[in-house]
Amino acid sequence: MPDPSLRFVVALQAEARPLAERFGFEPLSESHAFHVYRGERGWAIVAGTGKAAAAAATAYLHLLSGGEPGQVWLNVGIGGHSQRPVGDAFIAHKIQDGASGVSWYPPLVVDLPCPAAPVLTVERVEEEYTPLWVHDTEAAGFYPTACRFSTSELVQCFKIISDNPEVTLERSPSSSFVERLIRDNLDRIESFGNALLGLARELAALAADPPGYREILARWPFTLAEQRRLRRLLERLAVLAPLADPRASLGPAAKRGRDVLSALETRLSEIPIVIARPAGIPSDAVR
Amino acid sequence: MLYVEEEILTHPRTLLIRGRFPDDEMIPCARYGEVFNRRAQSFRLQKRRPSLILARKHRNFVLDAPPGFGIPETKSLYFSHMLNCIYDCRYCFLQGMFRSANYVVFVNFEDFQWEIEAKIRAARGGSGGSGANGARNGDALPLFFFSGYDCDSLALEPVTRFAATFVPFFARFPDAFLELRTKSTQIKSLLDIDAVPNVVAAWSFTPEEVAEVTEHLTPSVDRRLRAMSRLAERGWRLGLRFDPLIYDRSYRERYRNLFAQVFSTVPVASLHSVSVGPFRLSDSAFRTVVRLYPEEPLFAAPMAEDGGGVTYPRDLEQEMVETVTADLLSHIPREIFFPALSTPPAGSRERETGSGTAAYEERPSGDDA
Repeated sequence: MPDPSLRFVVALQAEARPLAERFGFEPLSESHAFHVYRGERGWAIVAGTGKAAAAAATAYLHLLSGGEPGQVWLNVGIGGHSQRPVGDAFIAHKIQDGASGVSWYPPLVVDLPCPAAPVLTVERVEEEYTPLWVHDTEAAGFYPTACRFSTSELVQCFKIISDNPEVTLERSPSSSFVERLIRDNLDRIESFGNALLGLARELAALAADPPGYREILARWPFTLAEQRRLRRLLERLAVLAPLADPRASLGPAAKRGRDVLSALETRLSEIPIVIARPAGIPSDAVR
Repeated sequence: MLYVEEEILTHPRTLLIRGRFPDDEMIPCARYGEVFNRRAQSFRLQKRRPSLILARKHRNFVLDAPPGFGIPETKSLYFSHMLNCIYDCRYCFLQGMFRSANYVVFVNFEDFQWEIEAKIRAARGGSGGSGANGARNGDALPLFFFSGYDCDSLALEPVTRFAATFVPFFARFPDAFLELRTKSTQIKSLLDIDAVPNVVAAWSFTPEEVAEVTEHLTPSVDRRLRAMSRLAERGWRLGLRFDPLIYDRSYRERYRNLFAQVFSTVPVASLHSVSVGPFRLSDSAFRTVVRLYPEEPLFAAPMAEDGGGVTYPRDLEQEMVETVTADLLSHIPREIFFPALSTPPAGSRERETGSGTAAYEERPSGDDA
């Protein structure tokens, strides 16, 4: 499984450009249903406005980027607020679809680079703002869609205030204005994305094959049930004898998968079980 | 983050708890299941930074414990004012039992108390009144309520005031019993009042070396023992739960040392009951916890599937139970030894209970999330 990377979903080209610069993304040359950027650190897609477009672009990017689960998904965009000044940034702790009333609560398990706030997804840019909510047009389309492809802790919305009762968006905001708002928050976006990538890597490591698994599968035949047993035996071996080569005890006598399993069982039974703090770690490290 | 169901925003206990977290953002939700029961949650990631959810429980306040669990000649019931535990004991069935690692606290303690009282009164009615042996149900058995099933009974006491509320309540019903099961040192609520004879404060232990690596965030064995000692001095009845027994090549020596440590601090005369229970999880709970923590040495030990559960191989389990029990009985009279307060005996692959134990598998029916 490839190393987890970032997936940005934005509404506007002006939001995508500063992200692409910061994260080293290049626009894909071939024609796609959406503007898509790609780089070593991940992908960005320009959805257009509206929750349906956001949902469609999220699903499109998932498939285009390989369909791997466990990636970091970030909806970055602008929004309105009844009180907060232009330029303030927020992470969504609650997302509500204004049309249906359905709510989602993104779990926030890393340090946040800015305050958290509820986000209300509306059908069009509002000139009246429900107090305390950040008003946007994408989050309620993006979030439930991305949660189909990743665990919810890795799916987040980062919103920057672009309008309030004193600075309304009667016309579409200029590209340069939106770009500046995003650019001013790139450090926060990057640190947040990196923190989420740390979580994604932790989960990816859990799902990784134990040492020797692929090599053994390639050499001996196993039924599906035996493959599950093999995985678990190798996981146990990796814990009990982390430096051991799992193939070392599998001599030429092993003809079938079950011979391999038997040899691994025997080897595991010879390793004493020791439950103790690893040397060098103080006892209060876990208290 | 602090999530609060909209219908209890102004409940007095909500206001008290919110007062403990003045700087935390309060996020209203319609029902706690919107936050707690969603798909696509990682228990392991959330355990790094759990949030608190305040909710109202609507039904099933008190449930029957599984057959075989509890003290003989009593009827065992349990209730859960909280879901999930602030500790992180890797062997515990609560690891991954729920989709979320957030803590749910049901603030409507009064509804739990109504139902508990109704059960006590009904039990009395069943035999024509209470007698010296406690509240009576239809089978004329005293009622024994357990609170440390879906959470640790005392660990969040400064926030919930659970014991401060329920212990005086049970003091009104001397014919029923309450067990608070815990690994915590949060005993101030108990020290603030006179000992209540029908309330048992029971602590779970594994040897210090095991606790250090498997019971994350818990107080040390020594601190737990000091808490017990203080309660013993004040006349409280105590319980000891050596549960689950954890295998290590030095387990004999470790448990011998643990017992020496325990009984040099806790007076036997203060003990209401002592139990020992082997490690046991259902197949599904074991798969879940291994998937969450494949790097745990605990789960790299030999295990066997047995009657829908995962245990140490039967010979090993039997040897451990016999060895540890023999050691234990050199410290305590047999009359206060109740193995069924931990894992049900081998052969009846039932559920276990309590703080930090491998425990009950089936969820209470009709969860109202």
